[in-house]
Amino acid sequence: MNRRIEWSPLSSPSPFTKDGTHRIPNRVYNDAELHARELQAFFYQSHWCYVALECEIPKPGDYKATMIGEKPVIVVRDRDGSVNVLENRCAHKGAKFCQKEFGNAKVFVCPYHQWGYRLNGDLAGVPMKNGVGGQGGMGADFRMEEHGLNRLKVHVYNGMVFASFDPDVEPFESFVSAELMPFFNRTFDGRKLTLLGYNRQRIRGNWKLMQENIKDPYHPGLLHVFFVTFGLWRADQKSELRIDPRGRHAQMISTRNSGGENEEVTAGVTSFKESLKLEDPRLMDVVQEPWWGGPTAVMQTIFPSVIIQQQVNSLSTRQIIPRGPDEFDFVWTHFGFADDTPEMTERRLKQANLFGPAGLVSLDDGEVIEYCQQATTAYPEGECVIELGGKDGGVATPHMVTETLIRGMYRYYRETLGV
Amino acid sequence: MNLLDIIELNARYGDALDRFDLAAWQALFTPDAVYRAQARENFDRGLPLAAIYLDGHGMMTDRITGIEKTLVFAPRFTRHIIGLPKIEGTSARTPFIIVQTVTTGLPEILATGCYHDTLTETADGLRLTSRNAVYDNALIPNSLVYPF
Repeated sequence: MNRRIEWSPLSSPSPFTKDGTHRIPNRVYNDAELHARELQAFFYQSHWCYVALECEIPKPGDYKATMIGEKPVIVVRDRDGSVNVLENRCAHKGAKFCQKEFGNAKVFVCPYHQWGYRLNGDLAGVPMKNGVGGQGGMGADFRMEEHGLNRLKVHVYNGMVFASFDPDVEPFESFVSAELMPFFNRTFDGRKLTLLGYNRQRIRGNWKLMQENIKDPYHPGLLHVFFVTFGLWRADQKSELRIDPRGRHAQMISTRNSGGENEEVTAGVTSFKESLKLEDPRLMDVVQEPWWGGPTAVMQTIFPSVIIQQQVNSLSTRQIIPRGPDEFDFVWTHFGFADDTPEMTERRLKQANLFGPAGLVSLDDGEVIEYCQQATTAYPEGECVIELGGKDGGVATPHMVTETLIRGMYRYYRETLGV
Repeated sequence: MNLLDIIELNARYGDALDRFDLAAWQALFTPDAVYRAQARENFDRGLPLAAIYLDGHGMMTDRITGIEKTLVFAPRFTRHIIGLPKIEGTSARTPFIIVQTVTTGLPEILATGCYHDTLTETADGLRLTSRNAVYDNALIPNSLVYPF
């Protein structure tokens, strides 16, 4: 089990030179010491991290190998239908014994010395435990029950699986917060989900830049020309931002308008191209779904590990897997609902052209995150100016012309890390 | 299905993409052809999601417009190295490697995989009626801009 850490002072001064979070020091994107603290404070204690959708492991014995922070874990459905999350680390020699991403197992056996584990992590077999011909073997004080796989705390919520290394983590719904649960439940209301598939990309940037990207309603109408022109996301559409009281999670909620020109948001915006029309409208054949209840897009950041996307008919989870301070893997799991018609599934698959490493409105995000990493690393003494909408520390807002959600995340960051 | 014709089609395919002549790339497909770039993990498990899924020339045109007029990405070169096809009736499987060089960086392998094709003879020559570029490396080095 992980112990909570009392932070010793940083070996260098806090990178934050001012009060508040309207200035973000470049050092937070590339400092190894801060990164180690982030992993411990955010991924390994006090937080629920996303690990799977239940529909990825429907049958007893089905498993998925994934990561929490930089630690490998296995998500497995036990014989009684419950879900266990286990460290992917043999209790004997520390081997990452499960090398397949997906599979079905009756027991887990480490190939090195064939220690075998039940699906709940209990150690079930140790070869030569009692010696051979009366010689060798484990000592009399060796207890099988002391050498199982470390089993994490698990919360299965309406088709999603979250886990925590921290046995004292707060209840899931209070973690997400009362403010955010209504829109969280809008997508995950208990309906059975179906798995459509995966996209994976490695982005050479700090993992927090991806959280910031989905807490930033400033950029979509400027960077993503596709969004602008087809009215999927514009500064003049009906929208609101929600944030949990501690500032860590958020939701960007918006309702699509008809597109076209609006002086205030398109004049001077170099990315607006009025003449752009789809040759084949099936690419964006949006059909209103009854469960939307109004908004056409809800983008959720559940800190630190996942982004939940509903952008018209396209649904995905996007898992953030850090790899040191300078890069992370970004894993997209696209899904639909069990009662989708074949036409709706086809629509979700076509709209998926907008997302993932090839996405017409998400490819640019990975690119600009790398641009940010390149220069913030080169200029560690610099800082980012996050002042759109003021200098508040993260508040709910009835519009999108603000960077308040990013300020909220860094308020939480400073409080939690003590920097 | 003539082996040399398929080799020539693939030579034109790689050449068009590596010269960024996306209209020439599109012209190698029949008007209602389906193009996919799909991670092997999805293909092998029968999961339908593809990173790029273009159903006919219209969507190919939209992708081309997206690349040329709307997407933001660092300048890059690609190099398609396309192997020899294994032909089965009107279908073929052909291995590929795509190397990319982003701005002034070193070349890196963008993808290795296999084209799963169906083909037809037309008045203009051999054309693709479907191509699924199934790539082995589920993990893409950041962006997949140009079709595989």
